[in-house]
Formats: sequence, structure tokens, C-alpha cells
Amino acid sequence: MEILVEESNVQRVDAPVTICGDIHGQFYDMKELFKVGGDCPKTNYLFLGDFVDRGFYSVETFLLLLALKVRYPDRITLIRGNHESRQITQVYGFYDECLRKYGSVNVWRYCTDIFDYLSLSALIENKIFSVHGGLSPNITTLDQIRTIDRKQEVPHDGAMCDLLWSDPEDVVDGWGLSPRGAGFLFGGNIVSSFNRSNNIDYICRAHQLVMEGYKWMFNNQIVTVWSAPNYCYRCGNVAAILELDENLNKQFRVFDAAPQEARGVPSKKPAPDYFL
Amino acid sequence: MDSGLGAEKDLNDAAAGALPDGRRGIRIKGWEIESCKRPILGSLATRENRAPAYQTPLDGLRQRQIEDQSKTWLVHGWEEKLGTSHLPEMIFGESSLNLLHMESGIRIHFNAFDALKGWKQEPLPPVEVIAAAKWKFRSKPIQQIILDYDYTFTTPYCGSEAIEVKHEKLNLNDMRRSLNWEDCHQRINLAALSSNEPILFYDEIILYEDELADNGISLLTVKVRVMPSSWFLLLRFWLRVDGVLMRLRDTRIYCSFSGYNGSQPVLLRESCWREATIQSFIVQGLPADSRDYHDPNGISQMLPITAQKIQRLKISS
Amino acid sequence: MAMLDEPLYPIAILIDELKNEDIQLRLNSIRRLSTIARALGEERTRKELIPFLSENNDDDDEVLLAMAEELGVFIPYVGGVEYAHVLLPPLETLCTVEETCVRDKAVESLCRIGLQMKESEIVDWFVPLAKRLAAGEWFTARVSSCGLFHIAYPSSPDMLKAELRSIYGQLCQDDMPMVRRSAASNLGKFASTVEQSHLKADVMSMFEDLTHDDQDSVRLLAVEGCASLGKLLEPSECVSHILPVIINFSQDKSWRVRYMVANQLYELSEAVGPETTRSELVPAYVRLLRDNEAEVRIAAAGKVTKFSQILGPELAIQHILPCVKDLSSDSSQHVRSALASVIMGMAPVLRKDATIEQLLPIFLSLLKDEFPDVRLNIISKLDQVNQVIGIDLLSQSLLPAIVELAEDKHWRVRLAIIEYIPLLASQLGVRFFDDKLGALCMQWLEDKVFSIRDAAANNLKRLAEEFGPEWAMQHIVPQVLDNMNNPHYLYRMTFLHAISLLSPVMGADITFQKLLPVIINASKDRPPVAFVTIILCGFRVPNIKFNVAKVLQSFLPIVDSSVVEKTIRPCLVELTEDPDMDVRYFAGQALQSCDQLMISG
Repeated sequence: MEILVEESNVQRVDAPVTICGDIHGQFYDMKELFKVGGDCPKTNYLFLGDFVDRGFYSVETFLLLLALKVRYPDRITLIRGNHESRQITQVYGFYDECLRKYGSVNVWRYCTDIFDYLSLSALIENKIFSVHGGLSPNITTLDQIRTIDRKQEVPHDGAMCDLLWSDPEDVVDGWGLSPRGAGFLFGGNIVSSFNRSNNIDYICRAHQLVMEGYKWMFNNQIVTVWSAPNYCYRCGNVAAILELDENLNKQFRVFDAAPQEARGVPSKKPAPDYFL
Repeated sequence: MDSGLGAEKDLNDAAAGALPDGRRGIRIKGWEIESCKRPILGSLATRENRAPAYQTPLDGLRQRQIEDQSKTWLVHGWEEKLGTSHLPEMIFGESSLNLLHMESGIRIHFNAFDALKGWKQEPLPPVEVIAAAKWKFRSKPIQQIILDYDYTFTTPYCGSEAIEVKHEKLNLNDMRRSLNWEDCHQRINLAALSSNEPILFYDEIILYEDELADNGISLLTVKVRVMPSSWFLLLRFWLRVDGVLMRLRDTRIYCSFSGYNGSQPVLLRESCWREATIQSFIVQGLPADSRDYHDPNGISQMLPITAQKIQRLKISS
Repeated sequence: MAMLDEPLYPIAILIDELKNEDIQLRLNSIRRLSTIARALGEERTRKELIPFLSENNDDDDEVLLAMAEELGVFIPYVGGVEYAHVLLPPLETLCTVEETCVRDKAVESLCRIGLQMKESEIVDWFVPLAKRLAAGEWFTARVSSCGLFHIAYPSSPDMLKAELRSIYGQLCQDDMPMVRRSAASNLGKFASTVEQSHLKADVMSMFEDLTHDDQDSVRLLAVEGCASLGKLLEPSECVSHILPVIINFSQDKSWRVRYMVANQLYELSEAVGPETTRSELVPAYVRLLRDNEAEVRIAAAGKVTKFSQILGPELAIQHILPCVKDLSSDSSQHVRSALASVIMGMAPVLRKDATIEQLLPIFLSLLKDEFPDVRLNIISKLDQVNQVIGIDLLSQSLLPAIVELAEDKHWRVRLAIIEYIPLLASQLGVRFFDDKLGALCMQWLEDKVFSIRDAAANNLKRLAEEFGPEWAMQHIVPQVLDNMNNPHYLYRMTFLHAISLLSPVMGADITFQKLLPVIINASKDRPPVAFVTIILCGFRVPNIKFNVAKVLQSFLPIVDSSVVEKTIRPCLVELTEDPDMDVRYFAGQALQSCDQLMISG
């Protein structure tokens, strides 16, 4: 926890580094990720949040990442996703998983306490801005992010909320409000001006499922990286990680879900049920 | 190697058989019932990412051909045809359930595309999530577009119909005429469905799903089970907007094999729409927590009915 | 009496705990039943402990299971074989409980005890017990009884034997399928104790009944018994009694039964002998190979080689090969996979010409199968073909396909090929290897996937071991050293790893002269001067530096101590002052090893 407290809201990260998107408790698929990308500490990693919820192994996933962070704080960086929150994990699986596996919610409580200390974003070699969700109308410079008091539950609105929740959107030019009445959408010109005023090359974010593992938008100014293959064990999508070498050359590595025999558990097939 | 089929002995006893060529489904009493499950639609033709590490020119060519073929799988085509760029995050666009009555050529089928056409035609106003109340007090960016499509993808869809005449397909939805479903009072025989008959074929197919950006779930699925005496299916649209609303739209179709000689079956279709706000639950002293509302089965009875329709279709050759 | 090796008071506790509410304590106590018995002595064990256990059979299944197991080895504690019969009542009760594991264990223990009992005791105690169970009202007793007849029968006088045979016959026709299943699965054991004269009459008619059972689960077990029954009979009788049943079963309406036949057919062919197999069983086998149900074809496909061995080349080519051809393009990937796992074994059977003409095309098509498991199964058994058709032909025809697989888009397929390379290398020899595969081996070091790069480094080491240091010095080491200039740190890391793996094989001199300078240079992780102008930022990656520290550590036992002191230690000392804490840590570790080496050396 002391390691995490020391980190900035815009954590400085050196190249070379490999960037990974959402994992969502798919522990065996994360092991597959390491088989493709290399083990930590041999390879440096930046994980863009959403370690937990939805998959069956949120506890294992987060604890492995946390253990690596404790042992090799300079080799791995973890930033916060919108699922690293007390409220969301109570609805989308992590809470129930802890209760099921340990009979108490202590593990969940400790983990969610740690979530509050996770950094909000990362800046790679001053050139690539990395964040879980996206931009916020309240933020035009990186310094504005640095002033956020992040040690709290993810709020329902405001800059911190936007960084973890917002999405790029093709059809808006400027800012858009989601039909849900909460959640910002941002268009290409927002990204352009943010990148220009902060002198960065592009933004790297996660948060949205992409069938092909990664997706560029707005003329290569922002890229979505998704690292949960066969999401929720049924979508059939591939996953990707982005390898940056010491000169910031990009290589996307696309990978499939771990084969069944590497999972140690039988696949879930629908049991015939006498539904009415 | 799960085929969804029941025990061979039961299949033999019911004079039913598997579909040929590795297709998933069953042939029974003049019906051919087939399910098809595929991955979600992709957004870009970036299959080259998965190309081999050391690509020969020939491989590249082959790859290109595969790409061309898979164009129909892509979301963009759907966006054009449906006239919107907002579609569910996970569309199982190539998945379907088909029930073909072989003699009459009448085909009842279920797919995501037709369901989303239904969604487009029923433009419900957007539902505000819990956080929206707070957002009203937020200082807005100077220029802001407010999107107002129905992000819950609620659909009135209750299945698609077609008649196949000697391998030609007439899509009834494109024509004026449709199959003659008539209102009736005869209910689906739930007692018969509760008996412990063996299940000869079972499947559950997701047509589309959206996580509402982590504000709940919108899910359209169809389940089918085939027994020696009947087939039965449940098309279910399930929506939960966390802390705000739950909506359930069920369509059940039942076809008994008894009482007709195989060529003139009668289909019963019951549609039942239910909906409740979480606020109304709180008033009744029920929990407001979404964690308690994962499974629509457990709560369907608690949701008041908003619309209901019972219909009958007599199939004659 | 046995010596007490534990103080008395725990015994009291153990006995107490037999009645405790906590299941864990009861279980614990049951597991130490022999300790209790020794403490009580033989007589009290017989008179108090065993009756107590007989009454206490209303416990948790887990406790009952432990009890059933313990009682099986309890003869010494009740006073030896002449008192063995006192153990029967508690086990008899356990034979009737609901839980199958408990019953099975009780039957097993009863048999174990029965084997040690004297003949007269068997007749007095064991046979009545078997009869009581066989007449039990509840089906569980009857299920258990089936497993006791092979112990009861041999010691019985003729009259009793006749009775036992007739009782077993009734069990084979019991109303409950569970009982018939048990009778079917125990029939082989029972039959092996029955005299030849009765075998044909009584036992075969029981078998007949079971084979016509309307439950496929019973018929299934009857099939399983065919082979063991067949081995008891004279071959001629086997042909007349068992064979028709098998041929019948191979067309059973339940695929599970056909599947079992497919699994058992080879054992049966051994029982009926090669002659009959050729004339009678081949059509049945061919039918199974072409069965509608994929599961059956999988089972049958897995036996093509063993079957071909019995048939010999001509019949195999005539009957089996056409099926094999069809199976190689079967619609089920699992069928193709099962075929691929055994088909290479057909090469020695068919001999060279037929292998080249008929089998090679099938191998090639399976090698190109879209399902990775199929391809893997072929690759892993190539050596069997090599022995038949020789290396030249093998390399001409199969190597192109292997090379293609080496570039397969699924990394697990590439991985499997890499792991097979050392074996292939030993078979092909240096000459051939250099031409075709050498380049691939270097290429893998720069694969996109870490696991492949890692395996590729290991592969180089194994090749160096296979072909020797001189060959490695010519063909591997220079390329590896050159590549330490690769602009991507993950690739430099792979080459570092390869160097550390090669050094023990290459020995002290080469490690010192060739490898060490490159590693020392890498400790600064700077590109060579010529490159500096081209690559703007230059290398400065901590990951490389701390891996250099690890490699240097691995060099310590290989090189001279003077080299350690003059070259390695200064380099490590420098690294311990690096700004990166992981570099400092691993350099510190390596320095500690240096120190230990100096002390011990």
C-alpha cells in the first residue's frame, strides 16, 4: 500500500512496456497473456484496470497482479478501472466470489481498500497517455489530473469518474452525454486538442470490448486495448496487448483464450433444464 | 462434444434423430429444429492480426478471401441496414434458432437482426440511470450533444416467420401477408410441461447482450426444449437498469405433437410483458440492491404484468 | 498380546470419540481402530468392539467407508484366522447401505477376509452370508452379493455349488437393473471359479440372458465381460459362443454398447485367435469404423494399428486402409485426432511400399488438418515412419509439411514442433538438419510469442548437446551473439537467455573468450558504437541489465576463478550501483554467489 500511495495520479512509466486492457477475472487467460507477452519481471507491464468482476477468478487475478506489484514495483504498473470500486464489485461478481470462496467478505474488503490507492492514469515517456476510460470535460491538462484526491471510492460524477468511465464516440464531435443521463462521450476533436495541448502522441485506453482485441479511432489518436479473450467465456473475441519497445515502436500481440486443458476446470455447458 | 441431444434410447423411442452433417438440432414428428451458435460480430476487418507469424504471399491471399467472406459478419453492415450506429456491445449476429415444419414449409425462427429491427421501431424514451440525478447539477461542457436513443435495446420481437416453398424462401416479414396468428383463450399446458418427460434436445442461444456500460444488463435469449410429446421455447428479453428498473418480455411458444396427425400442428404463443421500478420495490419493502436481482426467473412473479397476449396458429398444408 | 506403544488414556479418548458428535473426531477414531483394538486385546475386541461397530452403522458415509476399509485388515486384532468370521456381521450390514462406495469397500474387505478363511469356515459363515445378501429384500444387498460369489464358490461342496450357480442365475435376471449390472460386471470373476463342465451350460446361459437385457447399461457391462469370459473358454467354444454375441453387439441399437465393443474388440480378437479375427471380426470392425456415431468411430479409430497388426499387411490394406482414408477426412475432429494418434504405427505393418503409396498421403493430409491436435499427434510419432521408409524419403515428403507447421499461426502448434526438433535432428543427422531446419531454429528466437522464444532458446541448447560444441560454434553461437544488437529488448532478452543456456554446453574456454565479452557489453545495454548514431535513444533497459547479472551468476561455476575476479566481479559491482532497484538486487545476489565461490574454492 505504501508503494501505491507514493504513485502519482499520472504515474510516470518508462519504455519499454507492454500495455494490457481489461482482464475481468479471467485468470487462466491472463496466464495465457503472460505466455505470449513474457513473464514479469522479464517484461515490463502496464495494466489499465478492470482486473475483477464478470469472470470466475477475480480474487486470483487481482492477488497475482498485486503480488507482482509488491515484489517488482518498477516492473509493473496497475491503474484503476471503473470496476475497482466497492459499489460495482457488489453487483458484478467480485463480492459474491469472495463470499463464495472464503465464506466472508474480508478479502473483498481488503481488496477494495487497496483499490482506493490505485493510480488513475499513466504517462509513458511523456508521449503516451494511458487511462482506463477516457477524457473528462473538467480536464484539459495532465496537471489537473495530478491535483485530484484519488484516495476514495470512485465518485458518481466529476473528473475522477470520467477518467474511469467515459468512452470515445464516432457520432459526436465535441462532448456527448449518454442517453443514460450519466457518462460522457467524446469525439475526435476533443482527443486532438487534448493530445496537442499535452504534447502527447496518442491515448491508450481500455474499458470497451473490441472483437479484434484492439481498435484505433480518430485517425490513430486513441486506441482501445482489450485483454479478455472469449469475454465472459462466450463472446468468441480475441484479446490483444500492446508491446512498446524502448523506442516506443508499437506491436500489438493478439491472442486467444487459454485452451480448455490449461484451465483445470471443465467447460460450462448448458444443462438441459425444464424451464417454463 | 456437446450436441444438446438427449439419450439415444429416448431419441429412438420417440422416433427422433439428429440432424445430418454435424448440424446442431433434432428432427422429430415432421419438425426440424436447429440451433446455431457463433461468436459476436466484429467491428473491423482486421483478421490480418491473426495471420501466421511468417506469412507467405499465398497465405495473404487466402486471408484476404476469408476477410471478404466475413464482411457480412461485421457490425458496420448492420449499422447501415438498421440506420443507427448504436448497437448492443455483444451481438451474436450469426446465432439463431430455427423451427421448420417440413411439410408446410413454415419456419419460425429467432435472430438478433429482426429483434433489433423491432427495437428500432419501438422508440422508447431513454431510462435515466441513478447517477443521472446528480449529473443534472454538473456544470456542462459548453457544447454538448445529448444522445437519446433507447440504449436498453428493448424489443417487442416475438420471433420471425417464413415459408419455404421447394427451397425458395419467402420472407413473410417483407410481405404484406403474414401467418395467421389468431387470438385465443387456450393456455399453454404448463402441467404437461412440468412432467418429467425426457428432454431430447435442449439449447440456449443468446441473441444479443449489453452491459449498459456497467449500469445493468440487457439480454435477449431464446431457450428451446424438445420432448417426445411436444416442443417448447421461451424467448426472453431481460433488462435491469441498476437501481432504477427491471423489465421482462417473455414469449413462449408451445407445440404439442399429440392430437394431430403430424401435418396440421397447432402452435400456442403467449407473450407476457412485465415491468417494475426499483422505487416501487422499495415502497413494498423489497431490497433495492441489484445483487438480489441477477436471475430473472426468481423475480418474474414479483414484476407486475403490463401487457399480455395469447395467440394460436393452425398450420395446414 | 501386542505391546502397547501408546499410553492408555488416548485409548479411552479414542473410544469415546467413536461416539462423538463431531464427524471429524469419529473419523479420526475409526482410522485408528487398530490401535483401539490392540489396547482392548483380542477378546474384548471380539466381544465388545466388533458388536459395537455392528450396531453403529447409522453413521456418515465417510465414517462407514473408513470402517469398511479398516475391517478388511482386522484379522490380526480379533485373534487370527479362526476368529475371522466375527468380522463378517458388521461388513454384512455395510453391504446393504445406500452409498455405493461404502458397499464396494465392504465387498472388497469381505473378499480379502474370505481369501484367508479356511474352507470349512467359508462354508459355515461366508456362504450363508452371500446367500442372505443375495436374497436381500433391498436391492443394495443383492448388488453387493454378486461380488462375493467368486470367493464363496470354490470352497463349497457340490450341492452347495449347484445352489450358488442357480442363485447367480437369478441375480442375472433380477428385477432391478442395478443388480443385473452388478451381476454382469462380476460374471467374469465368478466364471473363472466355475468348472469347465458347468461353464458351458450354466454360465453361458447367464451370459446369454445379460446380452439380451433391455437396458443398454447392462448389455454394456456384458460386453466388457466378453473378453475375460472368452479367455476362459476353449478357442473353438469361444468362437461358437462369444463371437456371435460380439457381432450382434457391434450392431446394437445403443451407441454406448457399440462404443464398448469398439473398445473391447482388440482384446476379443486375442481371445478368438488371429484366424477367426480375420474371417469373422473384420466385418464387424469395419462396420464400427463406419459407425454413424462419432464416439464409436473415435473408439474404433484408436485401434486401427493394433488391429492391423493382427491382420497382417494384405488384409489391412484390403479392409482397414480404405476406412482409414475415409476417417482421415471425417467430419469430427476428434475422430481424426484419434486416428492421427495411432496411424503412424501402421507403417511398420504395411511395410515400405504400401506406406509410401497409401499411408503417406494420409499423413500429409492429417498434417495439414485444421485442428491443431490432429497435426500434433502426427508430428509426435514421426520416428515410427522413419524406421520404415528411411530418412531420405521421409524428409522429402514430410519435411515441407513440417516446415509449414513450424510457421503455423497457432503458437501452441509451433511450440510442439520446436519441442520435437531435437528428436528430429537426431534422426535426420547434421547434414540434413543444416539445410532445412537450421534457419527455422534461429527464426523462432524472434517469434512474436514469448513462450516460443523461450522454447527456441532451450532448443538451441539441446541442439548443441546433440551435435556438439564445434558444430554449435559454427552454426549457432555467432548468430546469437550478433543478435545482441537487436533493437527490441524482449529479443535481446531471448538471446541473453540462449547464451546462458549454451555456456555449460560450450565449456569454459568459449564462455570466457566468446560469450563473456558480449555479456559484459550488454551490462551497459548500449548499442555498439556503429549503431549509436542510427538508434536515437540507445539501449538503457534495466530488464537487460538485471538479466545480465543473472547470466553472469550462471557463468560462475563454468569459468576460472581468475575470470570471476578480473571480469565478472567488477561488472557486477558496477551494476550494484545502478539506479534501478531490480538491477541492484540481482547484481547483489550474483555477488553473494561470487563470495561463496571464493570461500568454498
